[in-house]
Amino acid sequence: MSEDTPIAGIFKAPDLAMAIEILAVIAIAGLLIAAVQRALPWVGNRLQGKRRLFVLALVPVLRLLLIIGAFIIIVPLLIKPSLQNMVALFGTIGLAIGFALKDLASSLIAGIVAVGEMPYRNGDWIRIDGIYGEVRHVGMRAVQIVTPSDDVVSIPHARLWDTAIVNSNDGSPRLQCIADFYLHPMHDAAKVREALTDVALTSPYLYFDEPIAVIIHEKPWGTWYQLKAYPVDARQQFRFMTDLTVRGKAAIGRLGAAFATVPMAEIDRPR
Amino acid sequence: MEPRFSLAFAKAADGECAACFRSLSLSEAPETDPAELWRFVPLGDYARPERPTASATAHAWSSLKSTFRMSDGDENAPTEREKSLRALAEVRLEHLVRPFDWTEVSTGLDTALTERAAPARTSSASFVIGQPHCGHAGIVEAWASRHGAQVIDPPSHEEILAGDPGWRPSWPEAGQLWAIPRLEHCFLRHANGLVLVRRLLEDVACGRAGRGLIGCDSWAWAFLRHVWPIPQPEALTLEAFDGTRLARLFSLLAAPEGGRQLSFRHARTGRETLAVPAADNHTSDELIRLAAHCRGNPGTARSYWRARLRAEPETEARSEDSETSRPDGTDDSATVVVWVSADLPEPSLKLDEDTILFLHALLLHNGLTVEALNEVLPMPLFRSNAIAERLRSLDLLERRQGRWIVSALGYTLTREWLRTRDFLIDDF
Repeated sequence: MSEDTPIAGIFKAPDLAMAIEILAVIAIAGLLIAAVQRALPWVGNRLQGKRRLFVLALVPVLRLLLIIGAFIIIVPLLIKPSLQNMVALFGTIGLAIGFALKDLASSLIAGIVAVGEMPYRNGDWIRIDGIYGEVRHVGMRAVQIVTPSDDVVSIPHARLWDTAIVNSNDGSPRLQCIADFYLHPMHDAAKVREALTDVALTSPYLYFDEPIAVIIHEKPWGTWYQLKAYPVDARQQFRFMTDLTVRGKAAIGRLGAAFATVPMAEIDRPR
Repeated sequence: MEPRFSLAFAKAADGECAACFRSLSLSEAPETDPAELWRFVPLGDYARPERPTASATAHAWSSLKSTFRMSDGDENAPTEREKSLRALAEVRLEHLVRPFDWTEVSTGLDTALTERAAPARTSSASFVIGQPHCGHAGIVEAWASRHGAQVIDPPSHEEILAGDPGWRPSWPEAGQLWAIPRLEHCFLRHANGLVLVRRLLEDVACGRAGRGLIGCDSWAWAFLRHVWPIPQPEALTLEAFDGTRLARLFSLLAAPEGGRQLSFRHARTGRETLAVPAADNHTSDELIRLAAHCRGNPGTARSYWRARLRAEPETEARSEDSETSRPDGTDDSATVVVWVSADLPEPSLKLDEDTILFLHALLLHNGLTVEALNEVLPMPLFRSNAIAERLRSLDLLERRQGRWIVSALGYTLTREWLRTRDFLIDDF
């Protein structure tokens, strides 16, 4: 492109056929994306375990491929496909976005990175900025998660650049759950550890191919037990932890160990 | 239970019986020798029957349709001939598919135990692992009866939860044989329900318990391996029943009707599935498919077979005469035709999580009482009862000796549900 060529000069002369062709490509791509976004979650939610997560994770990948495909078809329809024209067009677009739509562009690019690096996928349980939930939809701009209290939270992909993303299961159906118990320090810790191991071993939700662990921390106010185990399905984590807590408390109670209480000082007030 | 097969075996003490039995089976074994049929193999050698390739593809397609709840349409709709067939009367079914005789089966166990017992191991106990509906308890009881071993009954669920060592107060003297037919009833999947079984397994492993035989359900065995490191790699189990062995088994179970040949024919194709007595060594694809579907489990295979038998209305009306006609229309009084329905009688059910937990608990314990269900499930009793009644109405459950158990016809389906959801399952 020569320096005196106006930017408008890189575009082909518009006509009705071009408009119809572009609209048709956009419509077909849109329909395919909508179909993928509906069909794959429908299929995935009828499967279990790894197969479910695999199918759900395909949604953003296929959507990105469809968008790239549509883009590749549309660009040559709009401009004369030469290197100079491409550089001029994308340079102009980049400049405009850089000033006016910086945050949107950042999220869109982060969305592409999210599809490639997969810090989260559909079905994963993640924590971003203290918000914990199951990934329901990885969009182009934001990720949607459903929290345990059934709130849907949209978080822009741009948080990827500067925020720690905690992924509890990372594409696996397995997720570690921890039930905490706080006991008065005067008790037989070995017996409590044995009892808590059996509590996990006899839970109906337990996944047997992952280990059960009891971690004990001695604190100034008492003894802190962490019972760690994996449920069969990540979606059962809250029921699993509830089951461990209910039965763990009963087992500890049967051993005669007392639970820790908040330290309180008795103050003698002058009457 | 009275012996139902033609061969009778003399009772003998300990290994003598097996030795006598072996010599008989080697020298005089007929084509359908029960001893050949009821072979026991180490657990690790269990080889599941394979499905024919065409059948495997059809099965995969069927599973896919089932996953997405797609309608079968008319593909599997019964033909006119199938529609006209009717279920057999209970009396006739008992005649055509008689119950297993555990005494006969236990002779096979004797053989296996004698062959495997090395002198160094004679002071320890042996394990027999059985899939659901394969009658491991009956086999162990028959073995105990033959050898004069003391049968030790399982503790009540209150004794299990209390960890009460008094549940076996009259443990046999050293040197006397004992048998525990149902190890799966000696524990509860409860934080307090493992004390007794751990103590028992420890006594067995150390040799303190003496010589004995322990029967255990395959699901409980899978669970107990996580509870206690069971040092019994040589546990025995019934060899898998492939199509050929299944044909021989069904031949043995069918009582001849007045000396005439029994011809079991597929209701849709009209092809002969099984002839009793057999005319040749050919095994029908239908029986190969059934064996693969049941994963070599003879108990569930027998139930499917029994549930699929049909008769033409006029044939059934003439019941005892059993004068039947061949599919080509020619009468043949020398042959009794019994039709085999094309479809496997399995219920369909939309599963929720509570139902899955309920079924899993039943399989791990090989049946539970209502009270015990309340101890092992994280749901109120009324919910358990509601699930139980719903599953019973679908023929997935049955009640036996006060316990809910997964029915033979529901077992294969239930196992598949639990497998696809990554629950702990047995090794078969």
